[in-house]
Amino acid sequence: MPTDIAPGFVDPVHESQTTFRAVLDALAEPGTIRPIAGVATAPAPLAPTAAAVVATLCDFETTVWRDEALATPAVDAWVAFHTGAPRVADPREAGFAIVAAGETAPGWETFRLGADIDPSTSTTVVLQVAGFGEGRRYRLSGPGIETTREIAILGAPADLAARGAENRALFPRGIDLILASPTAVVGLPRTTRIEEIA
Amino acid sequence: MYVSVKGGEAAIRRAHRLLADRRRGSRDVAEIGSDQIAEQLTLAVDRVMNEGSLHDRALAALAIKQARGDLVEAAFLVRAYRTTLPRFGASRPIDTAEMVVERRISATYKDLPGGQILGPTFDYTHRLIDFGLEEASETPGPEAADALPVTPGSTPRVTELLAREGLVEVEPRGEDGEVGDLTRSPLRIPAKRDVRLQQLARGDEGFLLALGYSTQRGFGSTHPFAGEIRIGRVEVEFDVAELGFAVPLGEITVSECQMINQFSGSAKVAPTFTRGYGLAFGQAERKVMAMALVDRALRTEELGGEVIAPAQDQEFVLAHADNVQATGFVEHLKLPHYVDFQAELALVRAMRAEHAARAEADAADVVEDHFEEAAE
Amino acid sequence: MNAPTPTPATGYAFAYLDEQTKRMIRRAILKAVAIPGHQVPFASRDMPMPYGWGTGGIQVTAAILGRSDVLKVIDQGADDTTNAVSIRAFFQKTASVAVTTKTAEATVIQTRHRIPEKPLTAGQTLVFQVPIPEPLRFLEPRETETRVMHALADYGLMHVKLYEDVAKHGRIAKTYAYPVEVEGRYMMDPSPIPKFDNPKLHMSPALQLFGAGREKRIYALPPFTAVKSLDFEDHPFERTKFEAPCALCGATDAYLDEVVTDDRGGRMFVCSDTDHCEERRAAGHRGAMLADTAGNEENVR
Repeated sequence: MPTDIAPGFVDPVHESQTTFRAVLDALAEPGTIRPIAGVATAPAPLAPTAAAVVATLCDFETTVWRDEALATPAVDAWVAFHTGAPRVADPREAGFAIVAAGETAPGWETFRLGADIDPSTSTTVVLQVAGFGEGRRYRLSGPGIETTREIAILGAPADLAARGAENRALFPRGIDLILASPTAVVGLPRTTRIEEIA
Repeated sequence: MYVSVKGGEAAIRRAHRLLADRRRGSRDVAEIGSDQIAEQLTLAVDRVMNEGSLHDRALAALAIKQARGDLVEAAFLVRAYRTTLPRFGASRPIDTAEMVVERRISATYKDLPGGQILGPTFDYTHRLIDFGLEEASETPGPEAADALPVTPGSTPRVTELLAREGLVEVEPRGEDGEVGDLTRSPLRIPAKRDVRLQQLARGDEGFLLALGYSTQRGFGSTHPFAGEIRIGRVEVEFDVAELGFAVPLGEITVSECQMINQFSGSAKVAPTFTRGYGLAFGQAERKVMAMALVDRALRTEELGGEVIAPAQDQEFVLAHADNVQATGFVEHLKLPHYVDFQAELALVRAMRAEHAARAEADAADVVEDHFEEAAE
Repeated sequence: MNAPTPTPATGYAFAYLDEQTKRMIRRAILKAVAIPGHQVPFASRDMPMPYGWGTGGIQVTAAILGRSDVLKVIDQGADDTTNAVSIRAFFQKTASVAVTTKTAEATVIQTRHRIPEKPLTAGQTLVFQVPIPEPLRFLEPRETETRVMHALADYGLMHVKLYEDVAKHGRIAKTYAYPVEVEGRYMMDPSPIPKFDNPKLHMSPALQLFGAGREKRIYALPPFTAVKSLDFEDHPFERTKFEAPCALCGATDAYLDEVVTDDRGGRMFVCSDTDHCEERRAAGHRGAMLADTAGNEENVR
């Protein structure tokens, strides 16, 4: 391994399995907070949790896009080495997108939204946030939620609810969102209704 | 008395032991070695490599032994093993013009550069059982003229001779050199020709044979001529990105068939011959000829024809060509289905009861009518 | 790079599949969860079991299974049917995973043709083996056509077929693989479970994943997803009812298998869910025939 690239998972088989199950549970039950260990050695500003999600899901068969804030040689080299995923410059070609922070997140419509005939080709957006349990509060409903579920997110885009509504209107097309805090992930798939609690 | 039906591990274990016993057969007969299968049942090995989608003679031979000679089962074993192998990439396209030819015949020309080479063929054997083979005997080696390899490149492909005159369609080259792989991305219909050819190459020989035959009997006729069939050794090369050049991996034997088919042309395109193509590992002449017929039939739509016959129907052909899939699904009918059968049983009983009640009511009506009429 | 670490017991990767294959399946599962009821294509691999025998379910299970999971495998509701035994043994061998026959103890349950009687709970995952994932397949054999129907939510073909059933038979003559509508959008085949089990799909606290290996499709129902069995106002969906209770445990609310006891028309009905039946008997419930039974003797040679 080249010395200038930080290590990835120590035990790839089992760490990627536990990370996957956390992401699966997060998307299956939107708004539940799923702690994951993350890859502590991931180069900043790539969050250890986001790095774990990317290492778990991306490989040479997926395309990856990252925003400007993450466009450092260390991050690019880490993602390329540990996943082998080709990086794309156009978010419309992204299977996965990594976004550094909610404040600077591009509009969801700039990503690949899929087609009615094959909506599963849309982008999965991994969005780094500052934390859960504090910040703006949201009431969620939809598949995966028995009635409603409340969650507070620090560092989500200010217009998260409006973005969600626009994304939901495209159903079955639309992006799926994995929020990655420093310690956990939360899923907001395209089916989730997001209402901000004033 | 009710005895619950239990499968259980013991039953499975005993079945496996019985299977091994039947595979071995009489202990008075020497056990067959997979080296003997690899050397003496070569065409079976070729078929298993093709339908197993993996070029490994020793493994295919072992699979045949393990499968008691059931070639579909052997292909299945090879396929499941293939799943566990890492994939490094795709080789460079093999060049069959550079083949070290062992057999090469053309039905469209009496003679041609490099000549007709019969090679090891069943074609002109009389199909008489050779009782001499019952006993081991000395088999003489090939004649001196056949012991020397044919110089590579001395046998140009027939289609190239035609192409020089513009008489046969020019193969459009792949756009980006990337070939599809339906073992890595699921089959989508309509499929491009690379993926179709991959599915046919993996496909069941019997299925392709029947489909190819159907085109000859009028179900999607393609007016085929066997332009050329060649069998021989070709080199396989692999591009190594780090090195910047291709590394030879070794030689494999392949069979290739180029069918030449009539095409009347269109307003835009002058009349030319069109091609159907077949390629397979080893000596698999029947397979590649059938494959070439089916390949051409599957091109009907792109050549402006109307899809009317089964062999022309992509979805029908491609979805049903894989014998590992087919055998699994046909044979899964022997798994228990009693839950679903119970549900159907209840429905049929209920409908029969209603039917009987209706018939009874109708009969009563008839009797009533009879009495009413009598009263009048 | 993510090299697989072989388990010493077998020489194969953990849960058989290589890591790249698992990632590919995991990506498909996540999209399936995000689009409930939609069939996501995936590059199904050739498995060491025949197609039609659970290769889709096995691949889904292999992709989700971890060291802390407890696996239960059932076929026709029973843990002891040969195919269930074989699949369970496969995962014991390749993943050294803990197994159970008790529904309540399992974290992952792979099933063919049934949903357990005991209500599933949050945190459990039910993996269905699916032979034909396309609910419209027997009405329209072409994938190219049915894909468009799903894209347009054009399900007229199915409604016509069910209406014809009503006209001809006075009822919807479908007893298993009874089609459902998911969250008011996708029509979905629930796999060949008896329609008795259909109501259990609706608002289940468990995650339900469906794998079709030969047809290369994965689909999903997240927990608490609305699942409606298709019907008509004047012919509402009806759950199959049984006239007699289970002869062994006396259950009246379970799906029963008919067992032929002699060649003179004798028959009895027993629970198809063996764990449910055993648990009831352990709790002291007794069916009419129990005194007469010799218990769980082996009858398969």
